[in-house]
Amino acid sequence: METVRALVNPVPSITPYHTVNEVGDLLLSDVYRDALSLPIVEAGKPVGAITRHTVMRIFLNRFGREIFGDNPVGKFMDREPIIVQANSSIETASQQVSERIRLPLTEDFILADGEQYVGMGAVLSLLSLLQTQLEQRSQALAEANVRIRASQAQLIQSEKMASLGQMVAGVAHEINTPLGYVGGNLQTAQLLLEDLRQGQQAGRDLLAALLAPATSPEQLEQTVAHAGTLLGADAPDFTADLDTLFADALYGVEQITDLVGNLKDFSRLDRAASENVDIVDCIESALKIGHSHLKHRVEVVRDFDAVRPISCIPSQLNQVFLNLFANAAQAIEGKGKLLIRVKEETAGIRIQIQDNGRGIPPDVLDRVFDPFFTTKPVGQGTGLGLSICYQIVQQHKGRIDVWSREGVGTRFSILLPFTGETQATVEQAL
Amino acid sequence: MTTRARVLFVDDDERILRSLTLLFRSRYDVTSTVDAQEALEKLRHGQFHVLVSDQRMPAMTGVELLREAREIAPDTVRMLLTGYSDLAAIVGSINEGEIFRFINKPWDVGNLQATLQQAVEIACTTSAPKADGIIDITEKTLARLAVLDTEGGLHRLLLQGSYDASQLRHYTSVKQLLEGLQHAPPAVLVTDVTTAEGDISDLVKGLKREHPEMLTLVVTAFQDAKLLTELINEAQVYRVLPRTASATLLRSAVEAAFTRHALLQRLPSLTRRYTVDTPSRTANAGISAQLGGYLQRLRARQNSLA
Ligand SMILES: Nc1ncnc2c1ncn2[C@@H]1O[C@H](COP(=O)(O)OP(=O)(O)OP(=O)(O)O)[C@@H](O)[C@H]1O
Ligand SMILES: [Mg+2]
Repeated sequence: METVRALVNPVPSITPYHTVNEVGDLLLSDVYRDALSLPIVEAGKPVGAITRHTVMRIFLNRFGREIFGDNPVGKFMDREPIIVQANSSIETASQQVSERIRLPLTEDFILADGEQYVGMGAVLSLLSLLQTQLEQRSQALAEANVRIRASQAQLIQSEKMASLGQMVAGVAHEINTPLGYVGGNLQTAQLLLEDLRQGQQAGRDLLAALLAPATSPEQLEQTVAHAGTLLGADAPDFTADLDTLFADALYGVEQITDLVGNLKDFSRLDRAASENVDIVDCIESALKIGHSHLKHRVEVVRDFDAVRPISCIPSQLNQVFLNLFANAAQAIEGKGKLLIRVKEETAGIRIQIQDNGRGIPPDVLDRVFDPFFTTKPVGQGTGLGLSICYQIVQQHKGRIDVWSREGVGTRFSILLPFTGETQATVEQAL
Repeated sequence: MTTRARVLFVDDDERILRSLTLLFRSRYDVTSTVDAQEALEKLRHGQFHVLVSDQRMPAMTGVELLREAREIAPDTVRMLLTGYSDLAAIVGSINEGEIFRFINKPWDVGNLQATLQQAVEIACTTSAPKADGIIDITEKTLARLAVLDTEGGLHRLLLQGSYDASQLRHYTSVKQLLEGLQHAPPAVLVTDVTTAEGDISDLVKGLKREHPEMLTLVVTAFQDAKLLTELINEAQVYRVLPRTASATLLRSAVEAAFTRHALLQRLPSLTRRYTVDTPSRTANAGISAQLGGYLQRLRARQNSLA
């Protein structure tokens, strides 16, 4: 902690027995040139102070110097000078001084260690010290502010990376199944092709043997027999297998194309606002991406009305839905249900996402949208999911509410107005 | 072989089943189903050499299916073929499924053919008794237990599980362990995969290759799906346990391993069921070198004895 010791001006003190004349002379000397008042000390202890102002007033009286000049200064001194402990903080000292100081400024204050005189301090120096300190503090505050913003941005970034990572892992898994049979089928087809090639060769050999005049009957018989085993009525027909292999492979490629297409839509970085967005499409796309969270474990029930298109930022709404699906999936232990409702209301489109998971205890219900609120173990949840949902919905001029009962389930309800302005979002976008 | 080996495939995607069937139809008698319950039914009523299951299926997970299959048809060699390498599935497939191989989708046809062939051969030449219970407890007490543990926590935990300290060999470094092994390999080895000496998975793999009858219990932080998969395919670890495992949990895993070891002593051909894949990589050159030295010394000794 910074103390006012830094201010100490160790001017020699005077005694109460110095005469007024002597004090007047001292005030003119170089040592005391800047002093507003002189410390009066007896046996090391400050007992008073005399200001330049007081001395001048004495001298300004008619015959003042003659009448009072030889008097001891103790007679005129301020017996209760401002004494500040040298080890007090700048704030404490300022407070003490400002409580006692008279205006205009006519005095300095005494600095002491306990009862011992240390030196004098000037009010103006104290003020400038105070100011420097304030400046330092506000700079530190500004720096802290920058740091906090940076770390918050980092957290949000890491949340985004985490959800992206989850998404990519999920989709990679989704792709592995079709990729499995596409690759497998092509390799199997290659093997079958080898068999077909042998059959074809046997056919060619047979034809050549038939056309060559030099072929002996034994040779011909052998060639016919060989062609017979490979191509005869009892020989396996691989073409049907090939049809199946290729049809399945093509289907798999279509599946993969579809998934990758969704992923692309999903992570569009332009954050472009679009008009005429069908919310149901958004939800379906988020469901496809989140499929691996839900697959087999969570039954998705859709209750979708045909709704008017709205203008919104689809990639952001996708993120909202994906977050809500992920939360629901995490709240459901074992098997469960996810009910998704889309309805048109006069004010806008209502989307409800309801799960029958463990629910949220009432005492934390109003904190779930707070940034960093999470009940998940460190490393599993950043607690930013819902706060990001909240911000995105707000940017769409909409609202998001939660209803929950422990052991029964949780419902998030979102209202997106038809007239939702979306320009603001671009600048505010996370 | 006069009759063809029987292989059962289970996957909820019929295209996967078709793909596998068309690939293997010419070599094996292939049966396939999208329904895990039906698969269990088939295992109850007919003999299969190999069972290959998907992990994520609607009614039952692959691990659940394999666990039940282990009870119903212990002879059938079990494999998991999955596009989801989630940790829970891998750990479950070791501890509950006791699987022979964990294979990721998409698969390579050549590798899959080789693996399946190996599994079929093993199933045809060995047979697992229905229950481990036939083993006499006295056989178990003869078994030796070793722990590799630099910090001492694992060792303490084993002692807490009321293991007799005189039965328990405590090694604090890989070097020490390898010296000890030269005299007599233990029945059961308990170790972490990352110790003060770094990643020692190469050691775990190499030791299983050399001493297939030694059962390994691995304690790990459960973070690395790839490492755990390797520990199945290339080290055939008997159990994996979390670092936070209790003394009781550890003890019951050790007991199970002893029982299994006694079984392997009695029916040595069964060790073929723990055949490992060639390691796909070297994780730690220092450990690999030490292991190499150990194997050399071992060979030299075997030669001089012969
Ligand atoms: N559907 C739900 N059912 C039960 N609890 C929920 C549900 N959705 C949210 N919560 C509770 O609200 C908390 C905050 O959710 P939020 O999505 O903001 O963060 P998180 O899910 O913990 O972390 P992240 O989204 O970063 O993975 C959760 O930890 C959970 O306790
Ligand atoms: Mg969340």
